[in-house]
Amino acid sequence: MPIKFKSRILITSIAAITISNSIISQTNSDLGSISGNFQIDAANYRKDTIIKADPGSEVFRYNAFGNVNYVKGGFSAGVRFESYNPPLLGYLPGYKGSGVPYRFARYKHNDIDITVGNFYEQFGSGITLRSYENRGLLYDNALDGMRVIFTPKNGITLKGLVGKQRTYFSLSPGVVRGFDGEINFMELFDSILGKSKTKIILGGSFVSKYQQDQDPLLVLPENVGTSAGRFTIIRGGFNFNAEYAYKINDPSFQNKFSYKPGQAIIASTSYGMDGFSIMFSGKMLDNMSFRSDRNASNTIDMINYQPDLSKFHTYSLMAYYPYGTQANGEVGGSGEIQYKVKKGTLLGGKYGMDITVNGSVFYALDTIGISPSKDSIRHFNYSTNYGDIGNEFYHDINIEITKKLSKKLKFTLMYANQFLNQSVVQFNTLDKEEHPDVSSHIGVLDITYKYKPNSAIRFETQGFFGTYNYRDAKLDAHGQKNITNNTGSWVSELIEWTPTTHWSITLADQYNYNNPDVSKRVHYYFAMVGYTSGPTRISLSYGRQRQGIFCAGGVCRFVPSSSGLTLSISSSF
Amino acid sequence: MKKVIINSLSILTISIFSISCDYVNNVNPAVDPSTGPVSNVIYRKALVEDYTGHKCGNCPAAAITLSSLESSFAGKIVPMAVHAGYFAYTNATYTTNFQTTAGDAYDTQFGNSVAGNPNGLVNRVGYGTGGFIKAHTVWGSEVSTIVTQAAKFQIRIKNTFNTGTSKLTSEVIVKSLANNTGHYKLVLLLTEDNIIAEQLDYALPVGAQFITNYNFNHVLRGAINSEWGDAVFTTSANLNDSVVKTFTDFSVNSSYNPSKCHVIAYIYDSDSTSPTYYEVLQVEEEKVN
Repeated sequence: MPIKFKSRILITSIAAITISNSIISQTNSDLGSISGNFQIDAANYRKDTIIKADPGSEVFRYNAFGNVNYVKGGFSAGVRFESYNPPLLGYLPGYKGSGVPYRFARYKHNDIDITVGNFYEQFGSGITLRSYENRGLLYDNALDGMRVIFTPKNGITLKGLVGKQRTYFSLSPGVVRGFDGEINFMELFDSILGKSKTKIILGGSFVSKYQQDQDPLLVLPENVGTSAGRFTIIRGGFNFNAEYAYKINDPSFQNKFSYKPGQAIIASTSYGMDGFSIMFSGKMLDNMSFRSDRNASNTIDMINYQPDLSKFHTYSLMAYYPYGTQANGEVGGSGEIQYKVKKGTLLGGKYGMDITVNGSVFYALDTIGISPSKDSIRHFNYSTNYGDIGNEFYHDINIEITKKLSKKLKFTLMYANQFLNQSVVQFNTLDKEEHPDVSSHIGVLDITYKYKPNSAIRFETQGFFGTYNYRDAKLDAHGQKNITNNTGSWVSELIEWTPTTHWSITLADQYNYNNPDVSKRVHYYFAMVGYTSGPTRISLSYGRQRQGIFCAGGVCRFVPSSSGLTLSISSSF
Repeated sequence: MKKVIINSLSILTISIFSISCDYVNNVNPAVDPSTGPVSNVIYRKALVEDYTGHKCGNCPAAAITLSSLESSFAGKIVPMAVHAGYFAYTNATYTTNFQTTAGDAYDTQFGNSVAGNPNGLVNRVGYGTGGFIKAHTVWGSEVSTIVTQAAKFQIRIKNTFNTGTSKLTSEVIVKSLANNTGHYKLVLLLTEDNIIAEQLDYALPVGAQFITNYNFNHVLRGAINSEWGDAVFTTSANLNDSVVKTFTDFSVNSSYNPSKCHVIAYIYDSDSTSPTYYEVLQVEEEKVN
């Protein structure tokens, strides 16, 4: 999903400099145990005319949350307080406010598991239902209602749930109802098939949403259902799984109120053995956006999850033009081979060497628009030719080599070739006027020198060499093609010094050294000091953040450039 | 065994509720949506603000929705297009500047362009809540709720335009239709129809999405008094209390076509401690000339 794009933009600036600690519990066997964690990321932004960063009048912003959980035997309960007044730049402004959007009580005993209040759940790959939280993205579609999980026999799991989804500090207008069943044949027939090397798991789910039709212009379906079937086969290091889903008419803001049914196929296979693994995944999604509010946009009220198979890059320049699942339709896949060169060989040397080759490519569906005059009764908007594919959306071919040269020195070398059909993926048009296709070669060298047992220094250098294809874009009044979004090439340098296990100091700079517009050849500098003590981490940073556009299914959101001071504190107990 | 049956039944019960699907064979409603309440009560009108931009290819769809709502709720809504944020910026291709001080102030205060264009506000109901900013597809149902509510205030506008000097004088009478307690302000805005300029429209075929002669309607041109208005009732307004405000000699920009301009007047809750802060309680519009 486009969430990943957002994550890459934002994580690089703020979330990545904070480490959310795992929950450490304090146990008292009689009274149960209480555990919790909290985090605050606060920023004081400033106006920076050079990068056109203008935070407006609310220059101080923060994201904060705290969890408290209690466990005693099969019983558990918890609450989470959150506060954003207002949220940091780049996050949805609707989160402005404070409250307790998450509280639950859960009881598990033998074959029954009941939750009331808020809960997270996933059916299969998530294509019919996935309720989850991603704090770095401020994504939370927790269900508020009731869930029952029943395990009548070992190997059989039945789940039923009903509830409304979190929408900022409120709830979605629609109600979600779902059922999922899964049979693990090896566990079920343990005595007969338990020794078989082949394992088979079958599953099926059905999810329906209800939302009142108040539209004066269209007859809208108030109950919309999605069903899916899945299977997994495992034998030794081999694994294959696939899921097919079908959704009935679900007109929404996302799909421009198309009544066309949705379909999805997702499959993946992998094989692993000592020092070697290979994985392939593929998917076809057509009109499978499924939300508990048909009028919702951005990342709000999403019931299901349409998986993104492209590689999640952590190096900033590799992640600047990322792919986001096209909610209205796409076809594509990815593959990855990992190989560990053995120690003592010519390439492996004394410590061995890891090589990862990864590739992914995604295309549009081959669709044909239906003339409105022939579509006034059904309102499908388009038809799909499943025998062919459309234009390329994205590809990313990359290789990563990690090698330890000595006890003190190791490096990672990485290269990627990427292509992004930016106008379609982010702006839903083939018009290249402002949003050219971006092709790029990106290189990274990351060296860590551990000069003492608890002290290290890390150097990272990156280069982004882009070409921007405006195709047949016309010339402007000055006889030039629009270069608004042609930022040319970039270099990025980073040095991170960890003198002790408590302290770390980072200095970094991204430089747009050959922007065609000379006035935009700007340095995006960044400095950070971090202190860690047990479960507590504090960091203070100062610097600039590049702007970007975040688009999700026809709605685009401008993530502004920013500049300022950021303080992050996280801890747990 | 009994427990297994009970537990299975509980799961089954939830499952039965899940199995609900409405297949729609004809998307068109059987009843005319324009039928509404008929009585002597004065009802609220709906200020529908369309936050848009000429570089926003998804935005003409919202303008179409607004246009269809004007037909469906004729005389019950006051439309306004606010061009603000990234998609409203000008460049060599999109040269017409539709941005205004008032529009930028609203966009900054309400966060519309940051939330993703197109979107809008309907009487600014729900300020401060998550669902405050509305997708254009939900405007119709929001309007249908508002226009059935009895109005707390009545507004009447009388415009006098001097074509020689391009000066506009607006006399506005605000009358309280109930015993109201609170702080209320009156805002006068100017909008213009039929402006022909460049617009991106993703609904059109590839290659034809750049429109050079797009027809912009209800474009906010600026505030006549100020974007946040003047106080008309500061503590309370009793039934039949009325206030007359006269705004004299407002200069209408010579590049505007006065015969295509409207004055919008709205009264809103300006008490920052009120749960309905910023909510537009009544709105009217009147032609300039």
